[in-house]
Amino acid sequence: MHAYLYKVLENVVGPENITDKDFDIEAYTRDLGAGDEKRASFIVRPKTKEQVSTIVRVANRYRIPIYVRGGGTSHFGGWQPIQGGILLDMTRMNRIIEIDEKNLTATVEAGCTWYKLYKALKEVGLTHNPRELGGRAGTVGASVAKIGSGPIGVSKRGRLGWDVLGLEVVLPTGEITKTAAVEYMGTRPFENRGIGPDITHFFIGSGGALGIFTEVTLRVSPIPYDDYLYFNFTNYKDLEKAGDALSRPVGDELVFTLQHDVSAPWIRKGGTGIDVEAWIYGYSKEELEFRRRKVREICADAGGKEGDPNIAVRLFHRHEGYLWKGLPDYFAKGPVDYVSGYCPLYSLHEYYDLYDEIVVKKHRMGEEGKTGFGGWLIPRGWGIYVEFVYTDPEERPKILEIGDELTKRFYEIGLMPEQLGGHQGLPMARHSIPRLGPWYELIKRFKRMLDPNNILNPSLVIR
Amino acid sequence: MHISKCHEDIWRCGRCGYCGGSWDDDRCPSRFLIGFESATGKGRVLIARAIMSGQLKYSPSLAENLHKCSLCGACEDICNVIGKLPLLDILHSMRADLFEAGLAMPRHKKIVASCKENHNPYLERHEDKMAWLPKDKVLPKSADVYFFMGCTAPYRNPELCQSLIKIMEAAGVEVAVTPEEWCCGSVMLRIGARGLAEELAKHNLEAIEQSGASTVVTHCPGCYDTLKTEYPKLTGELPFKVLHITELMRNLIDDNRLKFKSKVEERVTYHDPCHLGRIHHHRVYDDSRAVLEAIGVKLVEMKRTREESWCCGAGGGLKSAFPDLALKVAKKRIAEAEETGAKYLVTACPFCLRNLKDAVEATPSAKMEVHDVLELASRALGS
Repeated sequence: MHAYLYKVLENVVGPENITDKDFDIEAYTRDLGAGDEKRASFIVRPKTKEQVSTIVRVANRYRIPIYVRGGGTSHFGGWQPIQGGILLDMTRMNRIIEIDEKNLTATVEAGCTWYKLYKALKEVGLTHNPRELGGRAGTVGASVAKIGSGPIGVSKRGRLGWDVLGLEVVLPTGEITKTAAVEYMGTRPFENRGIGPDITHFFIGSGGALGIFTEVTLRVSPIPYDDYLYFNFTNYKDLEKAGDALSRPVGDELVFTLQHDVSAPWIRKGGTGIDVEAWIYGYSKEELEFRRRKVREICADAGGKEGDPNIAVRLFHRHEGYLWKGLPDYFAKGPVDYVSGYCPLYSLHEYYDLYDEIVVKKHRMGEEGKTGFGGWLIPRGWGIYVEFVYTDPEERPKILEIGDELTKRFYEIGLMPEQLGGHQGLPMARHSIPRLGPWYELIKRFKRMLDPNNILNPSLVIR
Repeated sequence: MHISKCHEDIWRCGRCGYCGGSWDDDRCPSRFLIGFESATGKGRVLIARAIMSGQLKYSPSLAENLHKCSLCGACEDICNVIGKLPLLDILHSMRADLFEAGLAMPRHKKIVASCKENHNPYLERHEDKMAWLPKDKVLPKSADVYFFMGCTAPYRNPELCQSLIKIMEAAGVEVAVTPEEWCCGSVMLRIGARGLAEELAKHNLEAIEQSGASTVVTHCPGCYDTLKTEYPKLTGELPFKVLHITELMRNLIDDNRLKFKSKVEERVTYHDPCHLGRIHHHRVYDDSRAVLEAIGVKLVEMKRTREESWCCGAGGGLKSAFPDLALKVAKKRIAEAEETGAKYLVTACPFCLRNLKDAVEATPSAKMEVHDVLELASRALGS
C-alpha cells in the first residue's frame, strides 16, 4: 500500500517532489517548540492548487491524513504529523501573484514568505501589517492558518486577520474555492467582510483542519514615517495605564507597536524593570511629531522613564527588515519555547504575577537567566508570552512541565489562547478545550461537515 | 563518530529555518538542488541528532544527499545572525563519518587515492606540477614571499601561475616556489578524508618552512582558507602570514609598487569566491575590487555580492561528484551576472573560474567571458 500510494503521489507532483526516505522525513520532525519529534510517511511538495486538490482526493480515497507545513516555525506543533500520513511542504508555492498599488492589495501563494512579500512591497513604497513574528522562514499561508502572532503593527491594527481580504482554499474533499464571493464576480477582494457570512474569517486560524490555503489576498498600506522610543516602567499596573491611554482612541491608536518585556537577558539588555519599546508612525511628519509628543506625555504620566531609543531600534531592527534579520543572537544560547496568549487591558499584571510566582520564584528559572516575560499592546488588550531558553534534549521535560503548569494557571484566570491548539509542545489544547464548551462543539460539527473522512490535520479539532 | 564532537552545537539549534534561505531568493545551493528540508542546515542538524541517538543510520542515499552541497557557508553565515551555529563543522564532521564508513562518493574515493599517490586531486603525476613554468625560467626555493601554487592552477590553468609570477616581477617581489609542495588538503577535508589532509598539511608546513618565507601567498581561495584556518589547528600559530594574491596586489598598488601600463576599459562584474568571503568570515571582498579598479574596468555589481553572493557550485566536492548539479548552480550565477550587462565576469578562484566557464559554455544565450582577476591584471601590465 505504501509503495502504491508513493507511486500515485509521485504521478501528481513528479519524482523530485516526493520522498519517503528516513533522513528526509527526519528533517521535518520538529517545529520551534519543545514537543517531541513526529514523523510523516511522505513529504510532498506541490506546485499548484490543482496538485493540492488531487493529493487531497487521493488521501480521501485511501483515508490517509494530511498535514500542511509552511516554513516550519510554528511553536506548538500545529503541523506536526502525529499519525504519519502525508506532510505537504508548501514552500514551492511561493509566488507573489499580484501587488495592486491602486487598490492596496497583495495576492500571494500560500507558501510565499513574509520576508519575500515585505521586500517586494518595499520596492513600490508599500508595506504590510500586522506581521508575523515567526522569522524569515515563516509563510503567509501558515500564519493565516494559525493566526500567527507578532508585534509588528499589532497595537494599531490588531491581530492578523483584519488584513486578510480573501483566501483560496482546497477543501477537505478536494474542491477548490474562494472565500471572497466577489472573486466569482471577477473582482479581486478589496475589503475584508465580503458578502454575508464571513467565510474568510471562518478559515483564519483553522490550523489546516478545515482546508488548505493555496492563495491569500492581503490589505497593504503605504510605508509611513516612523520613529522609535524607549521607556522603562517599574510595574505592570503603570504600564496598563499607559496602554489604556495609548489605545483609547479606538481605531486611531497612538502607537504602531508597543512591546513590553522583562528579563530574557540572553537577548535583551537585562536591566531592572520593564523595557517598553514604542514604534510610532505617521503619514506626515507633523502627524509623527504629534504622536511622538503624545506617547511621551502618556508614558511619563503613567510613570515611564524615557531612555535610549536605540534599545527599541535594535529590537525592531528597522534597517534590516524588522525582526527578520533581527532577533540578533536569539538562539545563540539554545532553543526557545513559549507559553502565550492574549488578555484584556487591565489584567496584564495578573499574568506577570503568576509568571513571577511559578516560573521565577517556584522553579527559579529567573536566577538562571533562562526565562523572560513580554508581549505587546493590542487594541484594548495585550499579547503576552513567556519564553524559556533550554538545553535540548536534557531540559525539555522540565520545560514542558513548567509550561504545562503555567498554561493551566493562565487559562484559569482567563487567558485567550492564540489558536485552537496544536498537538503537543506546551499543551495549550489540553487545558483550553475543556473550557471552550459549545463553541468547540460547533467547530467539531463544522469539521465533520467539511471533512467527513477526517483527513486534514485530523487530531487538531477532533480527538 | 566525528559528529559527536559537535554534540552541544547540534542540540543548540533553535530551528528558525533562516539557514535554508528559501525565505527570499535562494541562498542555499543544496536546498536549491534538492528542495527538501534535509538539504538545509536545520534539516541536517536534525538528521545528525537522529544519528547520534541511534534513530537513523548513515546510508548510501543519505551520503548522496549530504554530498549534494557545495559547503559554501551561506547557511553558517546566515545563522551567525541569530544562532551562531558552526554548521560547516557539523557538515564536515558528517562527511568525515561517511568517509570512514566507506560511504564517500565513488569519484571522491578515486580523488583520495590519487592524492595519496600523486599528492594532487586531479589524478595527475606529481612531477608535472611545475610544467606551467617555462623551461628557461628559474624561481628561487627560498624568498620572503612563498607562492603556494595549489593544484587547480598548475594542472588546469597554468596561465594563472604565469600571470601571478609576471605581476610579482613587475612589482619587484621575489617569490619562492618548490616542486615539493603537495595538495593543501582542502579537497580532502571537504571529502572527509581528515587523516590524509593532516598528512598533506604536515608535509607542506615543512616545505614552506624551508623556504624561509614570512608571507605565503595563494591564488586558490581553498588553499588560502586551509592554510590560514586549518593548518594552525595542527601546529598552533604559523611562523608566516597567509595572504590571498589579491590582498598582496592591493598592498602593492597602495604602496605604488604595482603600476599598470594600460587599462582594461570593459564593463566587468565580480563574483566573490566563498572561501575568500563567507567561510570562516575571511571577508576578503574589497581587494579584488580594488585591483579591478586600478586596471580601469567599469565595475558593475550583481544583485547579490559579498556575504550574500550565490556560490558558483564547484566547491565541497560537488563538481567532482555531481558535475551536472554544479553546472545548474553556476548557471544561476551566470544569469545574475548577465543581468548586469557586463562583458566580463571576473573572479579570483580557479575553481569558480572553471565552473563558471563551463556554465557559460553550456548556456547558448550567455555571451559574457569569464576571467580571473590575474588574467586582466597581467593584460594591463602589457607585454
